[in-house]
Amino acid sequence: MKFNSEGLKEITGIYGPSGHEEKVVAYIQEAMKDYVDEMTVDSLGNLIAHKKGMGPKVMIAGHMDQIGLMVTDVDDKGFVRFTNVGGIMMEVTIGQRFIFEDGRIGIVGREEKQAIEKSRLEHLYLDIGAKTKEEALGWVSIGDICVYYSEYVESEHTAMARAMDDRIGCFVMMEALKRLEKVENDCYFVFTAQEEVGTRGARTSAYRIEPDVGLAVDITLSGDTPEAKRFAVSLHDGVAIKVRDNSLLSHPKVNDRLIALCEKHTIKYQMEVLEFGGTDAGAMSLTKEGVPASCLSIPTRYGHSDHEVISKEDVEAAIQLLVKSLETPFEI
Amino acid sequence: MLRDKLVGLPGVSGEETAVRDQILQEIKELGLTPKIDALGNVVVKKTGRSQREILLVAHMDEVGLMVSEIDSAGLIKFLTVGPVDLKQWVSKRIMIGKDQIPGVIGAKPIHLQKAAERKEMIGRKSLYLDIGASSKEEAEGKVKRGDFVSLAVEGEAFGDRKYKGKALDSRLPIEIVLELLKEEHEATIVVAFTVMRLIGGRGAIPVSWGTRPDEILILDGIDATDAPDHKGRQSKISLGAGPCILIKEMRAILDPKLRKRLEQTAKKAAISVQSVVHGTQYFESNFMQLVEEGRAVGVLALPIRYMHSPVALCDERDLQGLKTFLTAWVSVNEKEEA
Repeated sequence: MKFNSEGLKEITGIYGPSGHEEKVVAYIQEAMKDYVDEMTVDSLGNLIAHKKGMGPKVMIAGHMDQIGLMVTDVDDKGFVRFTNVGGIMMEVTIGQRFIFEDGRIGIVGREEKQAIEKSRLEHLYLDIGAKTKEEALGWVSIGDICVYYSEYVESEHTAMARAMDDRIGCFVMMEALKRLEKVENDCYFVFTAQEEVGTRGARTSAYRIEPDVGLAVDITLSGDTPEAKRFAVSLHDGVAIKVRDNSLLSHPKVNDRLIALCEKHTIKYQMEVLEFGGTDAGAMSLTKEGVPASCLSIPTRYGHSDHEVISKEDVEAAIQLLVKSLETPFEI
Repeated sequence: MLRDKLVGLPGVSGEETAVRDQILQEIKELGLTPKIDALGNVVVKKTGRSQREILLVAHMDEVGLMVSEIDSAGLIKFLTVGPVDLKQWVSKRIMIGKDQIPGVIGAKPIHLQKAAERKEMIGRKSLYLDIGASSKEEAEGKVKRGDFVSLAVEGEAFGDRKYKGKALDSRLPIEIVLELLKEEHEATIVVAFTVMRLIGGRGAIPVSWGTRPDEILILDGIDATDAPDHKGRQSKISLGAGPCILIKEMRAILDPKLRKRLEQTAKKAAISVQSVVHGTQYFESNFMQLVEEGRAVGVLALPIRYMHSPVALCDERDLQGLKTFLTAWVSVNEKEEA
């Protein structure tokens, strides 16, 4: 199967921090209009794409939003101060370029008098090249959000981009929709909003849909880099089937079925035990009386940076597993 | 004056009875019929001329303490309820329980402190409540474990259009909505006076469950950040520059469409407002936004200096601004313009 590099490059390049996912919504709506029966956008900004079928109601959730920096204030010399939107890590933020919705680009600097180990977000600033406060406030407003600015790069085996978290999930869902001829489940592909600020979109959309089964598609970390924390998930070892994270204990029967499908169709997979973090699967699992849920994870190096790296083979495995999961009734 | 009365009442999260009773009395005088739910939230509806329905939320609770132990000398150990900074509570007057037993928060006097202690920050374990009892038995006759403790402070106007006291983040919005309920408006207004906001927005959750207002507006206080040394993950928020329209709080990003409409309304009515981001204070919006299929929520907040202390401070101009703004907001009849 040929890897859709163009599609991944496009979707990781769209501006869409938490709460401002409209452009990603528009892109997916246009790309998926021939592959689903109906699409709606709800009050939090989730895009719900319904592909009808008899059988259990399955909600598939991948989040559209990416992390970013929100302008809180501008100082007298035109330096922009900010707070985080989602899990921003200081060490990968300093010295990075960020881009606003209108294309304005800034670089993150650090107050040098502050010892680096004692530096916090409030000691960082964004230099957008303005000379004065007035000029800066003409370019950006309080509340504007900027996101990482970087180029999409591919090697023979990997792809590297900003916002891989979780456009790769959206990408897997879209590729699966293109391949699904007919489904024996009533499928709700939900491209969720505001995951990075507390799995907010998945929570409200799952309430509306009342799924029988919930599957998230999201990134996880990888433990295969030099001297990494112990974590038995590696790039190129296949789609990772989540067993736990801090938001979820995956439903064993959902995982049994996912594993059985991988074995049957010789899809490469690995099991993921993550000792922190959370995904939309956690939000879905606690909806109303509870929803059996799990997550198809894409092993990712350098998560929450401007250069998140995934394996193209793992992505292909995730697409295949999602397709096979939905072709036949998801009975557990 | 109603404001002074509201500010002086005890209403620690989980024990808002005195504040609730005062609100109920005011509402009944207006001829409206309030409902009280199982948690103690008060909800009252005033039907307007149009179908547009707005849910306004103002919390009744303030931070405080709770009695945990009475020791052999009749001195009282306590727990904190809500985000209390005890550094700001040392040597203050307090009142305990339903009977509002007066007391003070005692700390070891300077002559008895060791050199090291003088440099240490005072914590909960080295503080106690003193109600002037001479024995354990006497104290136990007046105070029970579980009694709520609030600051004993009268609110008062001072300086240039300033007002100071405790619990301003709660009682000032309450005063404003009670006034709003006195008049006839285009929109139908539902006001929820909520409990336990400061221990995790607990009251707000059942209030929005099952309701379908066209929008939810939360009224609250927000930290002013106009002190000279301020540096943090908040916008500049100045006393006297107008009520704040929130873009983002600690957790929730407020509904962008609703926010823009709020800003436009302020502009049209020539009311000065501050559009701000606060990265370290959450509001009831964090919870209400996620009820059922989700809700459009906005937050309007009064800038307050020294929040949750006995000397919280606000500016009359901001109060007036919020009042004028709300009157303009509920005078419109059409629903959200797409």
